[in-house]
Amino acid sequence: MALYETTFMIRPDLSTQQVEALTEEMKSVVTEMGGQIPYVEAWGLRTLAYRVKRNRKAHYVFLQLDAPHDARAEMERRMSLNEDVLRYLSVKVETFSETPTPMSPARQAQIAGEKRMGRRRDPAEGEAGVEGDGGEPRRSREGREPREGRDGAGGGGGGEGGGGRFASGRGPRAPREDEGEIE
Amino acid sequence: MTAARRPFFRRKKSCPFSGKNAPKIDYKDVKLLLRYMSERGKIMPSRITSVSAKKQRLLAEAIKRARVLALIPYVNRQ
Repeated sequence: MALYETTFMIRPDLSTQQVEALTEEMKSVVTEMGGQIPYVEAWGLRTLAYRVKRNRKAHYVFLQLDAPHDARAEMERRMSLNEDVLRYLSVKVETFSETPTPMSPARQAQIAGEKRMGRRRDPAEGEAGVEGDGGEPRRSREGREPREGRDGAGGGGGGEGGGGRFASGRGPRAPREDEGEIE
Repeated sequence: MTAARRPFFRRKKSCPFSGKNAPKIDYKDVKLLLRYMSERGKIMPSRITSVSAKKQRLLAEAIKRARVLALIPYVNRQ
């Protein structure tokens, strides 16, 4: 049978029990048609990077599927009909990863811990916070650093959930002559 | 104009996704993906990030999937 990873998003106003119930419903669709679900992860309520069907947050559920194609198709069909499911995405994979997803609550807590400890909010560095050590590919131009002395609020993702870092804390930046197409 | 005004010539960097202990490109790994996107939310070209062509394709695909899942935005407005 084929291996898939399916992620789907549920309306935020449902309770955790309802989310679980819905998840079980989808799982049973698959198992009834001969599939197996070796792994489930609930990523919980996350802030979305943009509004989806007029919602700012959603419950995320992640499944690993080992199922025939029609089982997956049927599950997706049900999801598309269900009003509580906002989006779904199934990906065919070669193997399942043994480790929990980077999105699992455990891993997210780990990342949040690292954020608080290791990163200094130095505005002269540019993007403080998450992008602290990722400066290499982003700030490849000499002399760009001094200009990035804008709000530490732009990097203030420490206290928030997933989408907080995209809040419009970024001021406009005048383009420099030697700068290329990257904005 | 000094010779080192642009990073292109001094960049002998290898692809960050190749070689041992390289992180796996995963559409679920938001933290990783964000490092290869501009402030506007655009995918950074590999001539800046020195990602190999093959991995760049995988990266781009992963970013696009993550966008669909609203894990990362399509655009960052300022």
